[in-house]
Amino acid sequence: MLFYDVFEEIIINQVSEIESNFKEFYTKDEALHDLRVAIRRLLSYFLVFKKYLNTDTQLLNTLKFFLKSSNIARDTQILIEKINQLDIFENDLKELKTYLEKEYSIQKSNFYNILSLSFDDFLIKINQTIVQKSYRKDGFFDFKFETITFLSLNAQAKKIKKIKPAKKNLHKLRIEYKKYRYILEILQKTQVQNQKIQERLIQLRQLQDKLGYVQDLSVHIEYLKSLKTILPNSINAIQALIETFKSNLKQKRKKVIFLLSFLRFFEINWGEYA
Amino acid sequence: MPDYPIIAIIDIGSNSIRLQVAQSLEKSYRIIQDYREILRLGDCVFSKGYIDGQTADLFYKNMEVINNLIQNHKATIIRAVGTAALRDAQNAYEIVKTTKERFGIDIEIISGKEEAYYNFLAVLYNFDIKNMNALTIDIGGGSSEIVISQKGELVDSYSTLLGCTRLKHEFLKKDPPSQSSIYAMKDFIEETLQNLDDINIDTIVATGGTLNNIAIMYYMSQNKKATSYAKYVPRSYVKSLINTLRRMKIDDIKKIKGVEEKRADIILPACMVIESIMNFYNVEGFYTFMGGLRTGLLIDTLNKIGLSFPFQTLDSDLKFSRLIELGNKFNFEEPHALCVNDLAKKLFEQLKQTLTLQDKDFALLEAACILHDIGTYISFSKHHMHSYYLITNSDLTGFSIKQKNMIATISYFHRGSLPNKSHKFYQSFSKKKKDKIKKLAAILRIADGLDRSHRSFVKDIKVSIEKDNIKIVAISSEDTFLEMKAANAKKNLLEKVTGKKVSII
Repeated sequence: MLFYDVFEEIIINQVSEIESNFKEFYTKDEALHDLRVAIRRLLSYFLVFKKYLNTDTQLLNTLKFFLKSSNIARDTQILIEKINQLDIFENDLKELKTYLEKEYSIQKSNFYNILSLSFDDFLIKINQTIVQKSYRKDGFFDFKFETITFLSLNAQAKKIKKIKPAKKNLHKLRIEYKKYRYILEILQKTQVQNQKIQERLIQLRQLQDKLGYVQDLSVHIEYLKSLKTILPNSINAIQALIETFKSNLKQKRKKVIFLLSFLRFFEINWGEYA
Repeated sequence: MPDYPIIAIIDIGSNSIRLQVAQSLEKSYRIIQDYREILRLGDCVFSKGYIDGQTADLFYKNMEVINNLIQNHKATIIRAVGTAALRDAQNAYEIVKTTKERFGIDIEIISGKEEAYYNFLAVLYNFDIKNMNALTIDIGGGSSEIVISQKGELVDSYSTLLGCTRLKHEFLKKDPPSQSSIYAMKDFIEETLQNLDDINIDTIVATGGTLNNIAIMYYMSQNKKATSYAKYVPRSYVKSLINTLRRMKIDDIKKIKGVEEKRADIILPACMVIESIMNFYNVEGFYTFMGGLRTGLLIDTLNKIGLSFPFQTLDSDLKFSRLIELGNKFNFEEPHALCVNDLAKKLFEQLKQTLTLQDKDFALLEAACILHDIGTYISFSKHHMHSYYLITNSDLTGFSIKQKNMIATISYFHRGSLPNKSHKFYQSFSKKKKDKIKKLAAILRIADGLDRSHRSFVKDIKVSIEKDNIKIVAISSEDTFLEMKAANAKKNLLEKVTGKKVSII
């Protein structure tokens, strides 16, 4: 299989995923989440195979903008879920929860409006890219899908290894690991029997959950701090939440840094799945 | 009567140390000694990592008392197990070794999974969970053992770090606890529960002293009798209790009606664990009962010496197997009880329309048939009165207190005079219930008469009902002179409740 044929198929799939989630934005519970995943995947594919593509910068910026404009809605949604776990103390958190739900609704609607405005242009642009095959780069027409994927995997692994597992790098590592996983996932489709890939994917998903959890806690802490002045009646509950998240973050961060260091030292051949 | 062994079970938990001495019977056991001391080994282990000298001394003192009790009862089988506190204590080996040297008692440190299994065994013994998905949980001091079962079969078991003493040490460092520590504890509980199977759970059965204490608090708050063996606690109560306790100092918690003083500091963590489990599985309450690990260990120990319980061998429901077990406890004649039950069933089926009885009423008759003669354990003379006393004072799994009293009353009337105004216990029932008791007792009297010789001669019964007569034909290939005579002598109640002449041939 030639790289560009497979790549084209992948892009078409992701675009149709984005389209269907956009259509079901208000009718499907997980639409916001699924839509963001599809956007992030599409963006990641363009980025990880950048070397082999003629990438339209405007297209990439649009995708980045889509993600950025949905960040608050997504973070608020996660925070509401967290607070729901504490629903036995609902009297403490009632005001905060009401505020967050309102905020979530506003942010979700803002994101939808932004998408509605630019979605058609985005679709036209990406369709043109596919139809005109303008993403193809001279010199790589005959390259096999597996060759380029393995090369990209190796490059991504090297990139990850350069980043030191430290507190300040956790978010960066989370993004790079995610890209690595996305490449591995498309590779898995052509190598379903490869046990190594299966095992690595499980490991990466678990790692991703841990890194995601840490990132969410950091974001929640900052966001809650900003709410202290907006919701003075809930200041005690907000402060208690901040302290809880902080102590949790400290423990979780320590564990995840340890795990990342372990992976960095002992899992050095991440590009080799043959 | 064969000489059945005396068994001593020692449960060394993170909160308390317990001894239960039981005499095994053929298909049952009788508790002859129950001892408990709240030692809180976990307090020491979960804060220091080991059992310090002072706590160890207290432990050995209690082991000495336990050992004396075991010697007094001449127990031949001794089984001592240690759970989370001993699993975690750095010096557990030393404690085990010293206990062996001083008292000759071997302590077996069991894994969380084993602990979960023994608790499940105790739940199986006490609750009819054969037709449902159940979650059984034992919230101990150092860990919580969880078993998920489907139709009575163990599907999965988990040992978690959600022990109430452990949680207290980890999170509740201030008195009253800070809001953030409460949130952090809740967060930790929720995260731990994420590992559980997400299946539909119909019922939750919880064991452990602290949960039982919560149930007592609930019953007392509702002015309900807190001594009942099995209790049900709604989730709404646990929720409101959490929101009350989290703002209170331990000294104030101790003043709440029903709170066991030594558990005052660990009730809140226990409430939060069980509430999170109910929330996770969307169940609106939990059952609890006295027992747990020690009951499971006792059953397991008896199984290992070749004795099995009716609930493990009979292909029937738990209610029935517990009736047989209770009968065994009082050396009843099982073949006679089963024969009377069989004959009563045949009579019930053919008379239920005439007597306007419903199918569900047979459960009361069945229990009375099995237990009607247990009073002979005390004396044959007036044994119906003894049966009444023994039944009303026993734990009958699956029956409410009112139903138990009805069963005892039906059994009482299996012989002797007919119900009248002098029977005060009978008069205490409503008119409707009195009517039911009379009808069911009428059937029991005849069924009992038809096995007068206790040789199960009568194999079948045919009933024909006419306008003014009821004819009962007992089918047998043996000489049933005695049975006919006895049954005819006891047909008076049936004649009274139906207003028809009864002939038994």
